[in-house]
Amino acid sequence: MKVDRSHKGWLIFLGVATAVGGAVYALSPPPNGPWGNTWTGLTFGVLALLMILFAGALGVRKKVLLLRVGRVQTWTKGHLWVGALSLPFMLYHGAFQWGGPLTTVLFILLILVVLSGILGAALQHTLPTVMMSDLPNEATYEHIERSLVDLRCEAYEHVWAACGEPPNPEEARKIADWRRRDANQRPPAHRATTAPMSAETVAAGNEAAPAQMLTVELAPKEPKLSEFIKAGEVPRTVLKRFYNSVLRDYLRTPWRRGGLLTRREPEARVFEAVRTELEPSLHETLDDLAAVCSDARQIGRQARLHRWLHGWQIVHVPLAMALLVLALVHAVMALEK
Amino acid sequence: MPIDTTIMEPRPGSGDRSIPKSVSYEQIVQLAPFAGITARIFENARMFKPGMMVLRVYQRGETIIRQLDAGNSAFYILTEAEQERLGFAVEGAPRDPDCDLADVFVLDVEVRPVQRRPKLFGLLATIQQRPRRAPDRESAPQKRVATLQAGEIVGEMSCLRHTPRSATICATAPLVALEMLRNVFEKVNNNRKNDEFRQRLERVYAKRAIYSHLENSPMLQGVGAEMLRDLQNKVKLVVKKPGDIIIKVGEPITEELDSGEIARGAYLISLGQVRIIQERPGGDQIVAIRRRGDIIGEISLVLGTPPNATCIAYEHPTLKQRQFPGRNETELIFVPKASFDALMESVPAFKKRIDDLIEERIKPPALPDLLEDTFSYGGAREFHELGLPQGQKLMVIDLERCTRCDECVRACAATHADGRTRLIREGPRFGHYLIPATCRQCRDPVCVIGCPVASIHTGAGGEIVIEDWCIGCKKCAQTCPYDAINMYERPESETAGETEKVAELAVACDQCQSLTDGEPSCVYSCPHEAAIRKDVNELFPIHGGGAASSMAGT
Repeated sequence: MKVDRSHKGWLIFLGVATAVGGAVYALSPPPNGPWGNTWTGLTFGVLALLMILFAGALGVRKKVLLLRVGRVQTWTKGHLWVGALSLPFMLYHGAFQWGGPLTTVLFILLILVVLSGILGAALQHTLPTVMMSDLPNEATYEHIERSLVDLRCEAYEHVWAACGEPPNPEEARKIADWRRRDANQRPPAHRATTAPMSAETVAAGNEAAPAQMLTVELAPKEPKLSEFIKAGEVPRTVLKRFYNSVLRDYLRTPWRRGGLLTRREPEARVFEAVRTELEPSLHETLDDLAAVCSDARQIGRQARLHRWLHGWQIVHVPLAMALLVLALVHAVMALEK
Repeated sequence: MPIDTTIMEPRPGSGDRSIPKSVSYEQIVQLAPFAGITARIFENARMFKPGMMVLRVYQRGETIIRQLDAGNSAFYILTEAEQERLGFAVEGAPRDPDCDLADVFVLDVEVRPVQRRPKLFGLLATIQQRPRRAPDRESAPQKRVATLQAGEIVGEMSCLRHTPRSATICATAPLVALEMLRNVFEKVNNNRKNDEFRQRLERVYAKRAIYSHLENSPMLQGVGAEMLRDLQNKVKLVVKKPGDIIIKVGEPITEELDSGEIARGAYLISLGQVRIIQERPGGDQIVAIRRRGDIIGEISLVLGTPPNATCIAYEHPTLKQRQFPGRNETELIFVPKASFDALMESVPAFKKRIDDLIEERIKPPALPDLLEDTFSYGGAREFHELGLPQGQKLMVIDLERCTRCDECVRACAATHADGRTRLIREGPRFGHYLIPATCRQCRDPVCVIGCPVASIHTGAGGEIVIEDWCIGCKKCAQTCPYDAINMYERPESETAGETEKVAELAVACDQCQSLTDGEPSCVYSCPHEAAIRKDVNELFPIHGGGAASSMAGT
């Protein structure tokens, strides 16, 4: 969520509530012994628990999509600011002391939840803008794999057309199978934009390939430039070798860091090096492969950014749930005493 | 060939009744609207499909059509002779052939937007109910504007304009009407075999369109009833096909009136949109869009100068590349100079409105607009190429806010009983907005044209409605210029037992009309304030018809 001027009211609310809580805390000096048991301390504890429960209710609200009990954006703002407010109230409740083992764990959990929440808010504030500017051809995340397979097919067909033979006969069947399935599954509007399937690809795809063949696999480590360009080789062999040893693996996992093609500058050097080994008639193919690479790089970047954008929840949500459960346990235990 | 008239059940609460009677092809072609239509046309147009035509009996006082309701059908009031030819007669029906059978009423209240209450952290605002229609039709005062007789067709305006019903029609005596869905009416309207009836239909339509527009035109607010009546007889309805030139830069604005006289004048836009194009550095630019209720040609008329812009009837940007079964026409009301001058002289409010408009349209662009120039003119081409001026409920996703969580898509799917989403979060970009593939509630909804069974139509709020008798022919999906209608395959379990299997169904966004507050779920469920649905004029005032775009005048 973008933290903008519309959060002003919430920010004021947080500041005022913290200040009022601080004033109450300051005016009610903690007696000897646990302060949370006093009426003031208990009030802070109950309020903090209610805030945690409210913040946790966002997850429930998002599940009940049709319930008209306030816009989800309002709930999200509440989650953000009321959740943050629970930390000072919890500190007032515990008189800035760790207490016993359970309360210590609770404090640590709350701090981690708030910190991971702040990290999430910061990522949600900044990354959408980065994605918008860096990913002009952004695809729906769920369709990334399909786009990637499209690019793999395209690269394969370019190399095939230039070399006159499939660069990797085993892969031909996978490509043909994908193209066939793709033609059947895509809606008409998208079908028109799909690259046409070559006759060779169709012919090579007589044998059905298993469904998981084109799922994204973990690519092996990419070779160094000197490993695949050997002086004096036939240009078409260079192209095939380049495809088989570098491009193919890169197109499987373009989000992997550290490869030759992951960043624009090394990629340009690689293509330049390959270009010097190729005859001019193959330069056009190389340009097409460079375009495919560029698209794949964007997909790779999108995947990485998407993981950052949503990955923080892997930490935040389980911790928050643990906090919720332990806070309730703490409340029940405190009431029993 | 019998026609089953019993399938379409009477609508609950509407008070109408269908006659459970089978009518043969030979009998139906004896009715004036159908004279000459061959059995093959009937069959091809699926006019025999259950529910396409229904005979209905209305008793005295019953409502045939209710103003502001969604309209997807027309009614032909049968004459006494036609009733006899069909083999029945209604008891108590007047024998006099010239007797008035129905009264036409229109609401006599001003429609005002509902005031929203102040927000408390935005929460309370979402709980309050928003009525979809401002006037209370039952208690609002209505005025009687016309009477109808046997042999007339009513409800044709909604069929042709894809707008809600413009009047309420009540039976003043027992009558029988044949209700025909839009697809049947379109055949009747184009029936060249019965030219006399068709021409009569055209004349009646022109008269009603003029009346309806002049009565409701914001331009003519304050003009007296007497003067409006006089004006109705002097103006002319002009129909232009998409792409037709209405006004050419530098050439006088003239039309041939019914009397044969060539007159200068201005146009009131009654239906559709008009592009205003001016020469600018770098070529012709669309500098404004004029819409229903606007006036064009007024500057030329008042200042006596030739038009400084060309006006062209609006066309969806991608229609040429699509299989398009029909055309949405732009309708204009030509006001001759003499009538225009009379209005200027005798109606001060009209004169002030025109003077203000001219002043606004001819003033040089303000500094902020000049600063916007690069975006406005650079973006203007894209704005029009994407067909954004069409959007009455244009959905955009602010990519600077969107975290790609897909809550909007999930909410959309959850809102509909079939569990299918009407929103696909893919599409072109405009600035920092994504224009996703979902219905934008076009001002000229071309998707509804040509549906062979009239299952797609516009609802009372302008939303696109696809009824459950869709036959999955894909015409609407192919016609929609913005890929906003999706076809979904039906599972075997759903199609089992159907005599005419419908393998696919079309679905389109209905703006969540089923929900009480009318706010689309996609917007309501977006956690990040990224999903927005608004009229394009509110979203992009520079492009969509705001102050800057109104610079161009004619």
